[in-house]
Amino acid sequence: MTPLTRQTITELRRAVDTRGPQWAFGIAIAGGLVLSLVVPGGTSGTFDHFVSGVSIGLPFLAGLLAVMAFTADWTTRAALTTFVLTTSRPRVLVARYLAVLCLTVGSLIAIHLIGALVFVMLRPDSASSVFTAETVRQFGAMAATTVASALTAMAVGGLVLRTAPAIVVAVFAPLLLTIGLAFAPTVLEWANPYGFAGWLASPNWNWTVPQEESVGLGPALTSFTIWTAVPVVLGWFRQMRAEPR
Amino acid sequence: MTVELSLRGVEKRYGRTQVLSDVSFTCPPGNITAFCGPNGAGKSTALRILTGITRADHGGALVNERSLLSVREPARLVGVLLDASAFHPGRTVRETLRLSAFTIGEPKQRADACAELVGLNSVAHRRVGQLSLGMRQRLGIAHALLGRPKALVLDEPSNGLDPNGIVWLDRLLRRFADDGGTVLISTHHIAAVERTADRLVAISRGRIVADTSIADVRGTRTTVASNDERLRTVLVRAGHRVVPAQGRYRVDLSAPEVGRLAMEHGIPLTELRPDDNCLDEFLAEVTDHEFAGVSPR
Repeated sequence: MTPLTRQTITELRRAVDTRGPQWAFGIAIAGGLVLSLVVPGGTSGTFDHFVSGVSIGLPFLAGLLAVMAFTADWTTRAALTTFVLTTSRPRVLVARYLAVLCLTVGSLIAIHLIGALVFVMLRPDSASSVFTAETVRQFGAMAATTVASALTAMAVGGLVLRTAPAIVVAVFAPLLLTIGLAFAPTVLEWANPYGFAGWLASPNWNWTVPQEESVGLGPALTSFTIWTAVPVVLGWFRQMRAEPR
Repeated sequence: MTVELSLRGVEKRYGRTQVLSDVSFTCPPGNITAFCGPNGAGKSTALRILTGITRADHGGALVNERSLLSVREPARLVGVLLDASAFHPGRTVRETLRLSAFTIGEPKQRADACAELVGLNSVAHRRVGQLSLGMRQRLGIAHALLGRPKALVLDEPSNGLDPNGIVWLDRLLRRFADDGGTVLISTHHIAAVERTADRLVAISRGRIVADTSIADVRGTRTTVASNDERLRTVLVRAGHRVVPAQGRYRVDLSAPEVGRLAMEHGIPLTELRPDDNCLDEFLAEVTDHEFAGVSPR
């Protein structure tokens, strides 16, 4: 049986060696940089201010990469080849989850490194602001948001198994739902697609807290259940049973 | 080490459609087994069950008496080509083979060697989506050979290949089987089956309708010719099917038996030989003339 490490590296290679993910990565970085450079004051502040602009598309990028990692095989019919080489589907799926998490963290680090490099080139006098307590805190918050976004996208990708609909459901549906539920704040508090990500970025151990302050544990767990746990479980069974066509 | 592939009592149903009913057959090592049948007979489903892609409702697929799903390194035991289009169109030929080689623990040189073996070296830089069907078939065959398997399961491998490609494939499979390998191919190319296969398994409407050696099929068919017009009557009266073919008759009887009947009736023969091109007729018979491209004679 293919060792899990090797299978994970295979999935990681699969996730980045085609044009789709490469374009997504390039556009996310270039878009963030351009945004930071053209927005007034984007480069005049400290590094944490600058990098928050550069990495603004990161949760979307993580979502896209996760969806593509979980659906490309099925959309292109390559799943037939994948499961012929590695007949143990659980191993492939676990490796895929691990690969996407590695990719998400890797993208996060890469974008911050590129952001730091550009910032130091533009503002050598403010280089000391690159590594501060605030940038570390901000990095942690962005990591939490990005990982949560990737988890949801993986779950939806594994459930839908088709790239285009999975992107709509995982990336755009939460956005539209959040906007749509603005008139029902109580429902939004408990069913907010970004509730778990918000809680991860700034954990609050009270069951509920006023929405304008933070996200309580209750709404965070509900959000996690609806948008991540249930799709992961259903998607797991779907992928175990689905027949590659 | 040799590998024996077998299906035992396999049943498969999709919705209300019974796709496979009690399908059992064995592919012995050192042989090329041709798996033939009309479109929709259940060939591909049977191969998918054999390779662990599809679950059988009942019965199972065995590789040396074990399920392929329980084999530690399946690609080193069985090389599989189920669909030449089942590769990511955005990867190059080289990337595709190297990635799969990495997955099964083979060096990238093995991937390059397989690309060369199937004649894809010159297009190794091309994306799979830009390849012709014939090239994709070659890629699929290279992919199946990556793990130096002991058995090959190929679904319609000659589809899209040009005449040279078909000859090349015949030789490749013959050499593989002669080296002790097990080959199972599903195909519509009866001529190729007649040229290279050792065994024939025929399926129709989800049931195995023939499981025999090609030699046995040939042994029961004869081409015979005579200037004596009584020959046809004698053969028909003896209960045999006689089909006129280009001044000769094709008879579903072995050559010695035809010779004996002719001698008994004092009929001189001008030609008497086993029928080498009898598989299409045999398949048409066992599949109730359902077999695609075969016209009943």
